[in-house]
Amino acid sequence: MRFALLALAVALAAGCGGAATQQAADDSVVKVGAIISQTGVYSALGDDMEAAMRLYLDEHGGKLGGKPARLVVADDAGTPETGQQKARQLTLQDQVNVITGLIASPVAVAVAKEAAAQKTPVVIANAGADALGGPGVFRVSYTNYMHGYAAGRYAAESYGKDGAVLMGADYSAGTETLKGFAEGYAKGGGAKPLKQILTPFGKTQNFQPYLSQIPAEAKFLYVFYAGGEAITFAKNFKQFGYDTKLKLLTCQNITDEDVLQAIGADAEGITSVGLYSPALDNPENQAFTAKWKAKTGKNPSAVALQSWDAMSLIDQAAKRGGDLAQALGQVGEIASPRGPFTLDAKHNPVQNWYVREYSGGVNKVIATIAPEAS
Amino acid sequence: MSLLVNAFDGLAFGALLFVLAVGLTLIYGMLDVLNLAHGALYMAGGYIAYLLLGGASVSLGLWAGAALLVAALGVALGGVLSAAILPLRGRGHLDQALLTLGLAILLSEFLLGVVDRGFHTLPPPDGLDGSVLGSYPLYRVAVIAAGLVIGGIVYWIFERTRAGALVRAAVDDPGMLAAIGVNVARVRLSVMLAGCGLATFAGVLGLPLLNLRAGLDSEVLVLALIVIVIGGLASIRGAVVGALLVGQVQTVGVALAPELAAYLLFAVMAAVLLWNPSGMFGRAR
Repeated sequence: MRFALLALAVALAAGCGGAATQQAADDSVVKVGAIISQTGVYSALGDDMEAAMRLYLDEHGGKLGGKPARLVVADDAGTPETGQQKARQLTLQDQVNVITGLIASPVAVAVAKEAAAQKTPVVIANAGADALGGPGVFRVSYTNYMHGYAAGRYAAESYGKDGAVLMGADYSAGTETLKGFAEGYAKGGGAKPLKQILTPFGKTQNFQPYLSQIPAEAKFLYVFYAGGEAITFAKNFKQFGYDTKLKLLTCQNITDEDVLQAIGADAEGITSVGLYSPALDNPENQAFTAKWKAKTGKNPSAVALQSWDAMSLIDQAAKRGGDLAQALGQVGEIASPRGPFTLDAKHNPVQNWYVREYSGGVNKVIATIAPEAS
Repeated sequence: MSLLVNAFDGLAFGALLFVLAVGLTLIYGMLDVLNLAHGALYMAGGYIAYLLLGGASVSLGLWAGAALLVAALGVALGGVLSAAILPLRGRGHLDQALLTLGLAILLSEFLLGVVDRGFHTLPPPDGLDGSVLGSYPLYRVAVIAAGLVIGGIVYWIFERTRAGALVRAAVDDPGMLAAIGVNVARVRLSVMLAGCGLATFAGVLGLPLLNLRAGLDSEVLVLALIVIVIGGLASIRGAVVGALLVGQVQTVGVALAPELAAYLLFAVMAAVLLWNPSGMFGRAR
């Protein structure tokens, strides 16, 4: 047994060493390593992510920046440990030029750390944690704070200056989004929210006891829930008749494509603030939604859009040539189905947010929230 | 007023948990098998019903028919599980736990492979999709009624019939039961089959309340385990009280102390265990 372990250790060390000596990477191919949840709780999002990346490559002749591209997909199983291990494998063994994907923030934090150690740039296609970043880390999705902040600005303008109640799942995405909302709302002249209700993340099967905490003087509710909790929340809100008592504004995840089918009729009329809608009227979006529908038969989700844009950013950067990590920061404006966006000094997107109302099977855009003039 | 609604809602979740947990506690008490596939059976019930009914709103008759068919499939799965466990008799809990956990993973991954890894749900059947007293969902009232009926039937069989007496005797003294000429293995098998049928039935009953998704199996398994730890092993009364208590903790308890919501259930479990380590109605073994 001990001998077997020793042999294994030797084999592993030899394997790593072997990979390290092949450092003279092949320059004629762009290798993209995608760390995606193919199993675990986020696997439904992972399927969309991989499909969108493959679709981008198919639509661009399998090339990024004019060079043949290879997509190497690794499963993070939703855990940081596995993510970090896969990042190591992708950089050392597969020698990818860039890592992308990354659904859950804890995984993204671990992967960004490992990638920085291996001097490989990272393009985040979903994870929203505010603190996530670094010189080689680029994000085409959004930060949780900005997601809530945009909604807060809009609420102050359209939902009234007082009577706000916030509700969300008690983990980083929830609390950061609600914090962003409170500050955006205050910036727009709104009063301090009456109450903030946090629910245990991933353990709440019934929101009725929490909904009963909403004070009677509340005028509207802003909520953050994603995935299964978004479905349960939307159904409970409607079934217990809260939709007749107070106005609701939600994060984009509550009416995103991954949950809409399961929410069914209870999603009708929900207003949300998000970075994308399949109904956006621009040529990039028309082309993108048509291709996505032809491939999957559904409307593209936010994750699908973000993953498409992650490949698009890598494509533009590879076109510029030179060091990819540097080029990623110099791309400038990116033409996206969500409308054009740029990356700020911290490599986070500066973009429009859209107020969407779900009706007749699609999130219709009813207002646009432009980035604040800096 | 809103606390009353919370208490009532707790009854609905308690009823669902009872239907799920009563099988688990009897299987443990009777066969001395900790069936970690119980959550996967619940999940299988939900997914099979979803496949049968296609996620659409259907009539109550069709719904009930599907639920009975799913319960029958659960009985069949229980048979498979019994056959799989048979070679491990007397090998201790750890081996059985590993086997049932492995089967649970196989079953749940198979279901996710057949349907997909996304979220699914089923609306309540026609006629039960409305609300009562202004704004309480009628379906939850129906879940309470279903829980009462099933609880009543289980209690009646257990306490008032010869079959129930055999089951109780097999828990207390299987050696003596065998000595008077009863086939104990058959009694054990029928408890296993009934428990598994109830688990898949609970999966259909809970479908409009808990979404189908990856990880549903372990989520409900943990709740069912907490119910039987609180109530005491192999006790129907324990399953009733444990399920109702868990239901109330997760509704009234959460409404009274929302900031403690994440810990409340485990705090109650710990308190019960400190008071009586074998649960409220459990006997020391």
